[in-house]
Parts: sequence; C-alpha cells; structure tokens
Amino acid sequence: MGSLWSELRHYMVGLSRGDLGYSQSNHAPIAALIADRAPETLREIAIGLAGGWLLGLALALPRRGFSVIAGLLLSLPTALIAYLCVLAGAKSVLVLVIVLTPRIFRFARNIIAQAYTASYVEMARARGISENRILFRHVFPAISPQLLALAAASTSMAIGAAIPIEAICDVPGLGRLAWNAAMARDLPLLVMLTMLVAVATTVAGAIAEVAHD
Amino acid sequence: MIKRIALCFLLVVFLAALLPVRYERQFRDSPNAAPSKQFLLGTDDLGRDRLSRLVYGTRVSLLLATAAAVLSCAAAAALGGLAGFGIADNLILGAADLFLSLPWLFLLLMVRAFLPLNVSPLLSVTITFLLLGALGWAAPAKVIRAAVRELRSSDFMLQARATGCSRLIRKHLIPNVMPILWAQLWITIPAYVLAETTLGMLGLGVMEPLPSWGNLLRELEGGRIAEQPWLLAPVLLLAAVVGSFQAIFEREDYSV
Repeated sequence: MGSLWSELRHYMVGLSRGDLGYSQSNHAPIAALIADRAPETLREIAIGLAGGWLLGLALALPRRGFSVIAGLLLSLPTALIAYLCVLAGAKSVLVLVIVLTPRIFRFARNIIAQAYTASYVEMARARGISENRILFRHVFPAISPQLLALAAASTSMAIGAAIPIEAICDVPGLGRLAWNAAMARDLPLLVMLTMLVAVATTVAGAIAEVAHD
Repeated sequence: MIKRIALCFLLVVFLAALLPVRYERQFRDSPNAAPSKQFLLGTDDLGRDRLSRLVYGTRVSLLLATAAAVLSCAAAAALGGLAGFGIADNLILGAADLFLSLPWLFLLLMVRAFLPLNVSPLLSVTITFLLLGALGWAAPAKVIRAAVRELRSSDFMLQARATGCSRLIRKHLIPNVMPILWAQLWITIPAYVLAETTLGMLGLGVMEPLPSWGNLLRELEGGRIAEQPWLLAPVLLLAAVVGSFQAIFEREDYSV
C-alpha cells in the first residue's frame, strides 16, 4: 500500500505544478497532447453548438414544421450520422450541428410552446403588442432559466458526441485522443481526459445554475 | 392513432425478428450479390444472406436493449426506492450525480474500450448488455426517487397511515410508482438500441459472426451507397423502430 500512496502523492504534487503526467501510448507529455488536440475539438464543439442553437432555436419558434425531420434525426445514432456525412463528403464540423440541432429543437420547442400558453402572452396580444415584441420581450426572458439549463445539457451532449464523430471522421482532436487512449489502455492520459470532461460538464452546469439565481 | 401504428409496427418487428434464420450460412458462389429472388437484400462479402443477417441482428439488438433496459430499470427502482425512503439517500444520490457528471456516450465508450476487446461473440453480447444495464441506472433512479418522495408526503398516504393501513407500500406506493417505471423502461429501450449501434459501429459492440444492427451498419463504411442502395435497409429499419418508440413515449432527455 505504501507504494500506492507515494505514487498518488507524487501524482498530486505533479498535478499541483501543472505536470499532468506522461502518456505511454503516445510517447509524449499529456499536457502537450491536450494542448495540441484541444483547438480542433473546441472549434468543432463551438461550431456545433452555435449551428445547433441557431438552427434549433430558429426552427422551434411557433408555427414551423420541423418535427418529422427532427424525429428522424433523433432516431439515428451519432456514429451513423457521422458515417453518412463521411459518405456524402460533408465536413466533420457539420456532423455535430446535425446531431445537436434536433435535440435543441425538441427541448426549445417544448419550452417555448409552454411559455406561449401563459396568460400574459394572451394579455399582450389583446393589447395589440406585436408578435416579435412578445417573443423577444416577454417569452424569451421568461424561459431564459430553462434555456440556460439546455445550454449546459447541450455542451455535455457535444462533448459526448465528439468521440464517435472524431473516431469515424478521423479528426485529430481530444475525442480521438481519448478513444485511442482507451484502446491502448493508457490510464494516465485517460484519467486526465476524463477529469477534463467532468470539469467541463460540471462548470457548464454550474454556470447555468448561477445564472439562474 | 400514431401511437397505435407505432405499437403495431414494433410488435411486427419483434415477431419477425424471431423467425428462424441461419445468419452464418455462406453461399460462396455468390459473394457481394445484388438483390435477387433468392437473396432479397443481396449477400455480403462472405456470401451471407443480408436479409437473414438483418432479421437475426434485429433479434439480437432488440432483445439486448430490452434486457439491458429491464436490468437498469430494476436497479433504478431498487436504488431510487431506497433513496426515496431516506435510506442511504446521500450515498445513492451522490453516486447518481457522479454517473451523470460525465456525458453518457463518453462514459459508455471509455468503459467499454477498457474492458477486454477480443472476446467471443456470446461474451461480447453479455458484456454489452451488462455495461448498458450497469451504466444507465442513474437517470431513472433520480426520477423514481423524486416520485417516491412526492408520494410519501402526499395526502392519501398520510390518510392511509392515519387509518392504520398495514400494507402501505404494496397497496399504495408501488401501484403509483409503476406507471413511472414503465415510462422509464419505454424511453430507455430506444436509447440503448442507439447506444448498442454506436458501440457496434466503432467495433466495440456485438462481435462477428453474430449480427447486430451495430456491426451490420459497419458495412456502410466500405460500401458505395449510390451503387448499392440496399445497404441502407438496416438504417431504415433502425430509424423506423427507434422512431416508433419515441412516438409512443416522447423522450425528454435526448442523450446522444
């Protein structure tokens, strides 16, 4: 047991100095690997989230018919969408947009539809306030807490989806790094990446909660 | 109406999947054949009938997902019920939050990739089943816990307790929790079907020669869809089945 404790202490001391350890399978320090791969994944997640939110929210506004397509897309696994995009010759960043859009759409549509049943909307309509003003000045502020929670959830989804997408589309990002680490049984690298993912999802959730209050 | 059609469709698929077929038989004279009267969906590289493989793969995927869903819902009912009664509440809630702090797909792929990879087909089915069942309990457990807590403080339970009802749990609690548990089961099955497919497409699911939707879809990788459109048959079936499940019970949390 003594060696395990000293091992752990060594690891924690290294961690506190910013030394994340060494990856056996890649023959490189973990910090350098993450720094090298992160931009690709961050770019992918940023584009995926931006595109997914823009499309999902735009389609979720009242009186649009996207439900059937969304239902179809929700019935396909992420890996399959990635495959089909590769076959169609589409860029890999598009996959995440396609994966996230129907999910954000479904959530946002339910939230918005619920908000429109409130009596203040009817009141505003009766007073002759324009639909756009009702949407932006009355409905959106009312549902902002739920949208923030959705933002956190969609970030978590994007991170989860990054692995199969990067593995199938052959993108040199963090998802592929994690995938290879798991396949090569590279424990230090995998532990570090898992912690990174857990921190990222927890921070996203915490931000949504703080913004809520 | 749509729900009824979806239910009938699922029933038909389930029954059709139980047809006796030989998925492993090779017709060596006609590998990679186009659809014909003998092979309705053609044959694969090894000369195996694609339709037989699809039928058997449907059986494997659906039974596996259903069994795993039953396992994780049973675990969720037990743990969520205990936590709802305040027994080991903090421990169970903490464990559930720990499981939910990682994206589901990330957790699933990482844990599976860490388990033995070169295993026999039957063992690969067992591993996939146990993994899905063991990793998926957290979300339904939180739902059950919340339901049990709410029921415990409800007026009719108070009334029952006040009148000295001796079978409080069996007569009042369980019948009211069951519909919630059923709903959880119905939304868990399609999620597990999708998860198995993702695992299979990455080569971590059910191993050859046993077919499943996951490893059947791997064929898309090398295939040319424009010339062999029949390769898309498993995609259509998968979309129809998962879509039917979602039509019956709309999922609230669309994890990837």
